[in-house]
Amino acid sequence: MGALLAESFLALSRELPAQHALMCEQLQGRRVEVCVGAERFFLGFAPGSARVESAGPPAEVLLLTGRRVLADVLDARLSLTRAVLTDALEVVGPLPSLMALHDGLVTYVHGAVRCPSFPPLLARLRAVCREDAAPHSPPGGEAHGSRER
Amino acid sequence: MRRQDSHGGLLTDLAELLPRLDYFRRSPARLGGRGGHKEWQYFLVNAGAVHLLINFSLQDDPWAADARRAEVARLTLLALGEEWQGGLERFPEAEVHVSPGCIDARFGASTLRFEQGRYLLDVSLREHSLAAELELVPMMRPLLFNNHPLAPGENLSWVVVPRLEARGTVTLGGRTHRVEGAPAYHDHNWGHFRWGGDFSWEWAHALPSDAAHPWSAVFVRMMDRRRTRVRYQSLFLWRSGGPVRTFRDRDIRLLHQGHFQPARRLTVPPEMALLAPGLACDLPAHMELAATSGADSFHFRFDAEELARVITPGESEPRTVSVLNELSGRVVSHGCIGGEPFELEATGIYELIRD
Repeated sequence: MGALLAESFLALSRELPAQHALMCEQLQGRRVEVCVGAERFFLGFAPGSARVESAGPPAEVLLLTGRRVLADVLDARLSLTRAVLTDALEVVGPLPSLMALHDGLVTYVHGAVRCPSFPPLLARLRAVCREDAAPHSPPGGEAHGSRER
Repeated sequence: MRRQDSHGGLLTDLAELLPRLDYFRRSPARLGGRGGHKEWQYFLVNAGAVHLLINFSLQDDPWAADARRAEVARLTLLALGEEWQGGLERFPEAEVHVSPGCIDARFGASTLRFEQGRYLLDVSLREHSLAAELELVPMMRPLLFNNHPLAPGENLSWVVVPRLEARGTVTLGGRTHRVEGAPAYHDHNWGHFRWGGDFSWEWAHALPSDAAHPWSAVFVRMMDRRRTRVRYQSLFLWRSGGPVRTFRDRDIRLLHQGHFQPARRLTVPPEMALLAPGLACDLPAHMELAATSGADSFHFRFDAEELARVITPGESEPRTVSVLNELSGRVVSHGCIGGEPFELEATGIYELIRD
């Protein structure tokens, strides 16, 4: 997952440099520890640079979730807000950092949906998320659509 | 040699006419011409228990590195039973074959062809248990609108076939529904414009449960993006094969009533829900349209029931989206054209653009 994210940062910087620069500016100086299932990595941001690192100094923000939660958010079965409110996705840190993280995430997604090379990256991300997803989503069933209630 | 048909030669005429009007244009950018081209072939089928929306779309990706290879193929396939289901899928160049000048497209395993006066659709989604194999026979003469202005320097052309007769199968969630003589609608749009440009539209159409009902109506209203100014609006009526009446601009009064508050809604592609979260929406619960001109009159009431949203990144500004709201609901309509009164109860789609 960390490798995919690093690849996506590169694609964003190459294909939509303005969005990449804005994301880096919004998250400048922030450090985020990400735990998705058993995987753990760090995000670091500086002007014009977004890095994914396997180790490093302590982060001010911790983001903790599972691949299945990410799959549900990507497929709109679960909104980001509900994921946070129900602790399916935990984010811990000072409020200004959390707000910056949200702004940076929105900028990243706006860039991602415009980058020509993101559709195959998204397909790979979905595949990785589904590796851990229980078979709770029968095709055509309630859980397989994109509905938010 | 002309085939004999039971509609006074209408089907034969349509079989000859439609390939000359409804063919895929494709982007001039492929040949070094103007980019920003968009085109889609859209079908609605009232298949009884399931309503189907099918859209074969080609549009130039404004962020593509090579403008000559910027055209992106997307298939939207939505089914409305008790609620909307389905998805939007895009296809890599290697899986797309579209013949310019013909009604002939292959997007992955899904195909659209026009043969012997019939549209042949064989569509399926990779990620959902939703598929359809349909033959649609046009039953009314089309209208063609060329280069209608959307915004300064932006335009849209349109072929509309308001009534077709569908037969075949729709498979949803592992259950196959037989379709026989079902009413259907088709249009084809193409032009140069940017999502998020200075325009928005409202469009409405209704498909009666009785395919033999002789009347068909299409409404379209074009506005500026903020919806403070109506640039033009039209209501087109067909009866038994041909167009019979058009109401325009000041002939038409449109009233939005109430505020639609959906209990649920479908978003395609689903990841776009990250940029347009929540259930709040700026949509009317009811729409009432009245048109009068001379002795002719038409009244149309739409009551919203279910919502599907097709969301596209805004192309004018970096942090915007354009939302095509496909609002389904009940339609009750009546009118009197040329001294002939009529009534219609139907299931309708009301499409509204919102940012």
